[in-house]
Amino acid sequence: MADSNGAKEHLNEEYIVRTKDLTKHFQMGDEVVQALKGVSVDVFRGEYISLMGPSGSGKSTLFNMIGGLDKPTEGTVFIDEVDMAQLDAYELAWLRCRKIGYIFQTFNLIPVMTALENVTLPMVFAGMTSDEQMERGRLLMDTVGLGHRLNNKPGELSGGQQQRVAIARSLANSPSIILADEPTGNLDLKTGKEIIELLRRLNQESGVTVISATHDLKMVDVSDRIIWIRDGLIDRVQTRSELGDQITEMEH
Amino acid sequence: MADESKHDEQAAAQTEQAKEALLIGLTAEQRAALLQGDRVDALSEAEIRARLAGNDSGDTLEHEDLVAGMAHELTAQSQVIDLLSEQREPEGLNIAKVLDSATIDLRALMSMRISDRTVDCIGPLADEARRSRIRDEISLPTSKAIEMSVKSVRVRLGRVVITASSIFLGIAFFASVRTTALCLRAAGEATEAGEGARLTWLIIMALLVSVVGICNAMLMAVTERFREIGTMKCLGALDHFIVKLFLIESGVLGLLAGVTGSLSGVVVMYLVNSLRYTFHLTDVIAGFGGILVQGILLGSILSVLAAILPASQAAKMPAAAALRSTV
Repeated sequence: MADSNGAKEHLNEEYIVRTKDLTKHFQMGDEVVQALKGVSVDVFRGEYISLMGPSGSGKSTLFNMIGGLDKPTEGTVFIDEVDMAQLDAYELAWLRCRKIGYIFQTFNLIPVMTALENVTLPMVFAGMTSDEQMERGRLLMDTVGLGHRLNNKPGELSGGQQQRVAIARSLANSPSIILADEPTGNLDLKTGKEIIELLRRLNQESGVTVISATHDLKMVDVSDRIIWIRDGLIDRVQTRSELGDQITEMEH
Repeated sequence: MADESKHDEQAAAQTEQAKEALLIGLTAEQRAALLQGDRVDALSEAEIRARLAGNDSGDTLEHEDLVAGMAHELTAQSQVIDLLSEQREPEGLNIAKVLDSATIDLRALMSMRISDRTVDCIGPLADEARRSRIRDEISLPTSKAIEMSVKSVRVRLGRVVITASSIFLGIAFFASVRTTALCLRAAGEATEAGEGARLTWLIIMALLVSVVGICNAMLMAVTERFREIGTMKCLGALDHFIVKLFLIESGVLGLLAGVTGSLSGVVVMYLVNSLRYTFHLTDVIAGFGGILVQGILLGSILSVLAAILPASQAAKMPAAAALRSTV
């Protein structure tokens, strides 16, 4: 996996996320559904990874495991070489608050709060003073190009703008990882492209690791590696250069 | 006798520690200059102090401050070391026990400069220290929680009015029954025997119904906001933050309903009764105060109680499940 076959060079070759033989079973009535059947993934610090696969392939389940939102039936997830299963509720919250930024398909902004308040909410949990919150909140809103819409409620913003606010919020406590679950799923083609470019820019400028579950082929262009998931297993892992020609084929 | 010798030993050890504490901030050169070839245990504490005071070659050594800080560090360190070595021998290391018996602030210790000697011992403690630091690094200040809850109530006013109306009606009923009783007594009207007990039962029933009502309304409000709860958890909220937010929200609601309910109960029943009987406002006004206070307290407390179950149920939900829910 570490071969840098035209992909980004991993200067320090440091893993930020590792999963080992992850399995997840869901009980659906009498039937047991195997959403994951043993997935091992290694992600380097600073990488841009896309988890690709059709609906029901298990990519969202994998995404939830990596983000600590759900517990695996078997197997382990390491974030920064720390086994997630060993963490208590406080440490898990700490991890979600400071290490990981989440972006969702449905944006998931708190509807009663203004854009700025949404962005500063994780900073509240992290115990920042309100001055620091305001300053950093404005800075982040500028970064995503929404410096002029600080006091609008999510309902007053377009889908693309809401997703930008969500991206700003995910960066609130300078996380090392951004987890994006279908970030472009509810957006039109052009807005989706802008969001992908924004994510890529943040990845390159601040070195934040981006892991995105998606079936948006536009993501392929910017990803360092694409992990294809099928039926709860890793189908194949490709670097961008390997994909090169295939993309154009697929898009037509 | 044995006790005495132990005391002496302890005292001697303390003097040694104090002497070390005086010296610990010095560089090797300063130390050599100060001791002038003497051994530390050959000098008395007073002598060391005197030398330190006369030590102008030691640059700008503000030794009083330094000494105070270092003394603390040294005591803390030796306490930990003592405890660790005591613990280690018989049944391995029991960190919880060490932490309990050590009268030191572990976090303060971790942030201090730690000598090499301590590092080995402190390793296992680092985990505990990290955990306790993490506990402090995730918080939702109550003032902020109140601000958020009040905002949430204000924004959802229409729905809140409906939720609050059940508690409003209950409290209004409570206040009107009490007011009528008060007015009748002031007017000198006799009441039937057993009337009071029957009314008390009625009041209890009315309040029970309103608690069930608000519990139901809170259940709806919480279910409606599952996704919001899941999102907050992703942003680092702990379960009890969520409970806190909902309880404060419900408390605010109960307070509003309590104030308006008891006010309207008292005012309406005062007007009605003053038409039918003759009595002076001055005779009942003091009693009204009591009824208002009781109504407001009842309203807020019952409302918070009714929210405990729905809020804690929702907070317990795993983040992924809360996010998946589509209501």
